[in-house]
Amino acid sequence: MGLLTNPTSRATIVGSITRHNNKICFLCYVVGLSWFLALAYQELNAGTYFSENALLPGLVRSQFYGDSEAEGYYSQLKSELNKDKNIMPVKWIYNQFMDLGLDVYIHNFTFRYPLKIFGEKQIPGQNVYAIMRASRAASTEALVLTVPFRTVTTVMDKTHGGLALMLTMANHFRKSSYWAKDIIFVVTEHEYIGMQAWLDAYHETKSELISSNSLEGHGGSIQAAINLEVPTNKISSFDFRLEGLNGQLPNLDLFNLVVRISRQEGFDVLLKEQHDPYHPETFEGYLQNLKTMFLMMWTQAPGSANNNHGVFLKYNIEALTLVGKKEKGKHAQGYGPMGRTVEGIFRSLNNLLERFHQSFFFYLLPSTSRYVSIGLYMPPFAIMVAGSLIKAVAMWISCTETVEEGVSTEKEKKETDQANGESVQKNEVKDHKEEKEEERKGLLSVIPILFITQLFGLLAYFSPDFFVDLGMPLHLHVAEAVHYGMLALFLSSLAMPRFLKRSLSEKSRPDWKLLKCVSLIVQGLVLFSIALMNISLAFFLAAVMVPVCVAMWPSNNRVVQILHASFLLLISPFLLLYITVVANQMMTEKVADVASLLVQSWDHMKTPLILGMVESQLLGSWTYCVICLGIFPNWLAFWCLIWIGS
Amino acid sequence: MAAPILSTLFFGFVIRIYLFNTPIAKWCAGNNEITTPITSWKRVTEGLSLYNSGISPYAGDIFHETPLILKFFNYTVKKMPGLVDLIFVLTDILTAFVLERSVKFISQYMALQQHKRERQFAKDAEKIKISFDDLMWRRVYVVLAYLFNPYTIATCLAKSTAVFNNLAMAGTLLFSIKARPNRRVAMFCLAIAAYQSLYPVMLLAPAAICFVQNDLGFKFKWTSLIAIKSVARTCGWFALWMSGLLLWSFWIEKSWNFLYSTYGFVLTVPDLTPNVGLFWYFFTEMFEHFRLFFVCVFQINAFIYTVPLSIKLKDHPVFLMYILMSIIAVFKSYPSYGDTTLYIALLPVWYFTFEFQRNSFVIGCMYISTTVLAPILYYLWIYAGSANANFYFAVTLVYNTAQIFLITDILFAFLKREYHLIHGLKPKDYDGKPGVVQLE
Repeated sequence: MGLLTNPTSRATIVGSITRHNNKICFLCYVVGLSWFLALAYQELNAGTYFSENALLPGLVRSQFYGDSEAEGYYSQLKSELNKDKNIMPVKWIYNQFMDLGLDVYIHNFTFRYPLKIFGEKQIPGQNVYAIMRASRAASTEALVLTVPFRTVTTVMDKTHGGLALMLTMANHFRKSSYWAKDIIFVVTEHEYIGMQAWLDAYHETKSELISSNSLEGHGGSIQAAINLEVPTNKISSFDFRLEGLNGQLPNLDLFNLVVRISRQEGFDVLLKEQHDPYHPETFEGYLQNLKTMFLMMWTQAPGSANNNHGVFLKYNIEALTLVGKKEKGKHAQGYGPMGRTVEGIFRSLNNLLERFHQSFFFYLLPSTSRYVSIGLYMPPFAIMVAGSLIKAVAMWISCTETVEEGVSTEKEKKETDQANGESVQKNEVKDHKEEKEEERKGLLSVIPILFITQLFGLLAYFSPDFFVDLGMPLHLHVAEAVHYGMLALFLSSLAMPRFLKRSLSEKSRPDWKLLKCVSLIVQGLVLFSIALMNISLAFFLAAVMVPVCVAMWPSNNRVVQILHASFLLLISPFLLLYITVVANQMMTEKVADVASLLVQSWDHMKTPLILGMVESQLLGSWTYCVICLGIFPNWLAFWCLIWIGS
Repeated sequence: MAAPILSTLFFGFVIRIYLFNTPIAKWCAGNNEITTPITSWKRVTEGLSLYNSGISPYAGDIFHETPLILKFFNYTVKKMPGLVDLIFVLTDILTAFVLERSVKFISQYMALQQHKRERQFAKDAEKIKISFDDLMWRRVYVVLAYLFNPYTIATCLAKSTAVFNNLAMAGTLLFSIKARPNRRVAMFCLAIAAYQSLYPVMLLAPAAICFVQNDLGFKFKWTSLIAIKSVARTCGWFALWMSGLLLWSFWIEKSWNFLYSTYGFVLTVPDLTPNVGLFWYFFTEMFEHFRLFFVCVFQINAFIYTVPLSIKLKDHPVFLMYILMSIIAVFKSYPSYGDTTLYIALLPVWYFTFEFQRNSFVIGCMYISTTVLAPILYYLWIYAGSANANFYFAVTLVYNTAQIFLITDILFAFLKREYHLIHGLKPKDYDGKPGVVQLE
């Protein structure tokens, strides 16, 4: 049993933890954080490689030379789009696939936004999909090529180039005899909502807000999906989007494949619109890698579906998005190389003998040719969070030790008093019992606070609908109603310690050390749980929360107390969201004036809030739930801690 | 005293009825940590429909509950389908009530035992003696710990048939320790528990000791004829009830096939669906021709602890029963959270060992973290396809380590307290220096 029952070795460990816990915590955080950031340096991560040998990337000679055909589709599509600028030319797309002789179907669906964003209105949508049956197998497996349809008036990047390319590829693919997997071409409306509706129908799952007809045509189980977003007929580079719903990523092999083939066809490969550094071993190269990795984590952290590929991952289908980019001063290529890229990718995927299972599912990418696997990023993350756990242990020891000290001093007293007779002894026993009672009260006394904080979390989770109803008579827009409602809830939660202080008597108030211990453990647990699903979110949360929460204590000094409170406020979920929006604003737009930046961000803050709620109900994203039920109550416990103790 | 207990029972009832109407209930029913192939309600309903279409539910590999449970639910589902949820809730409440009664009698028993042994105690042992009132007060904690334990609530919401097993085991405890112990009823409860899940057979040893103590007082010779007779009578009653139940099942089923589907299923472990136990991972990794050998080893391991523990704790049958209950929860072939509920609920009874426990903090953290991480890793493995079996197994391994730590910790604390009771709080070693009591 050694360590766990041997009192002497145990005592030394306990002693050193209590004595040095502050230093250890600080060291852990600094080491963990800098190690994590250092992972972007070339020597500390690994080069990508193909784990799945069956892919055989780029070993076949490409046969696609349909440039002119694609250009024809492109110009036809353009004229078709100009007829009516706001709708999807379903009939036209349908006919094109029909002319190629594929099984074409139109998938009708309707959906309703949650929170009554457009009232109770059912919004209709249509997906067009065509199935090319495999000539070498019995439709047991399938690959998917998707293009989200965007109208001419869209504010996002257009995807018309991709649609023309898809039609050409369909024509090219059907002429070959080597296909062992069905290829399904899907054009979706309403971005990933259409994709979600199609996937729901394909797998015959039901969702509450999206209702759709059952599909007339089916293929086999989908092995992989590629989402094409090519704006025009000439591009110079491909930008890859990997981050999916709940921070899930596609298998690294798929990414490697796509990078390898795009490079082979002479495209520049980008990740988060960043080029790979020429000299990754230099400091500038490191900074470039770090920037790419940071941007990737920044996109992954919210757990949003981002593009069409994001919803595939939930169904255990590996998928990613290829975004065509036309960069200034770079040689732009036409449909020939683009088509050969798509052909190469699909012919490699066609070689797959089993589902993607080799390689990595959890990784971070500092560049297109380097990766940081879960085995590399978990240790620094664990060390970072270890600080809070060590502090929790120290808190626990100091809680129990005071009781033990009490016992031992009492024991001594008892020895000296023994001569005084039995009556004293009886009193002593009574004292001891009372003391024990106090100690027992300790652990239970934390429960009411944790219960109330959890109640606030539940309130935050379930109240948006209520806020919307409340805002209706005030003529508030849905986003505004939710925004102000959340602010009100947040502010009222700030008043909780005051209320607690009044309602709890001095005796029933919990020991702050115990509360801190429990809260730190919960924090560590929540962060580790998030890290398993979405390391980026966990990392950003840990980077800001751990140092502040570890350092909190209820001080009697007014200045220190206010300092603590302001730090805690800074990392409160609500302000953290605001800070994130400000940071995002600074990264995407150049705003010179600080005041206007802050005001603008305040205005923009509605979007992620409402988006989080919408995605949680429409697609099943967990971020909103985790923040409400995990992070917020935990933060609130710390907030109570600094006011209630002492 | 009655008010807090009654209100706890009431709130326990309300919270269960409320949660039955939320999606949580459905989630629990499909959760591998909460239901097993034996106890899952889905399988019971499958078995019922097979039974009603005239096919023996034991012919296939779906249904593994006992014929009596089948008959019982066949009756209830047909006659009063709306009350099925209520049956599970009421069983839980009844179990809590039985536990509360048991703790009352345990307090009386231990106070009496302490009184009888008082002359052997060291002078300064006063401090670590138990007080009857304190122990009685623990009843509230026991009821709280049973009814508001998330494990218990989840088991009830999943409609896992483990709740009946828990009731039978709690009944065994109650009727063995009662002021006027009832051998027949206690053995009937034990027979039902063993009939349903086999492993509770182990509780025969502590129950037998209880009855011997009741017949002969705390001081007796094990070799005396009366003691042997008492043990024989206990075993006899158990055998009688057990064979009665089995014959009744045979009469219902008209064949002995159910034996293989129930006890055979428990003993040979053919279903390797992941659960919180130790069997599934080991046997998925195993080459087929070693299987028989290791099945034997694992099953012997589950039962063997009865012997040394019964010898060591022969004067403390209640504690022995407690330890065996927790050992069943760890080493049985298809464990679930439902099995842990009983021993976690009874933990407050042993409050006097707490100050000798060393690892309660670590154990608590292990329990909480594995409970949270298990469903996440299961999701990543089965649904997202990004993790694999090793991740989930690691968590269940930590969970079982926590359980084993808890058992050893409380056992060690109990024995250490016994030592201090006799030798005083500050024992000296042979050199006359202050000694340290240590587990080697």
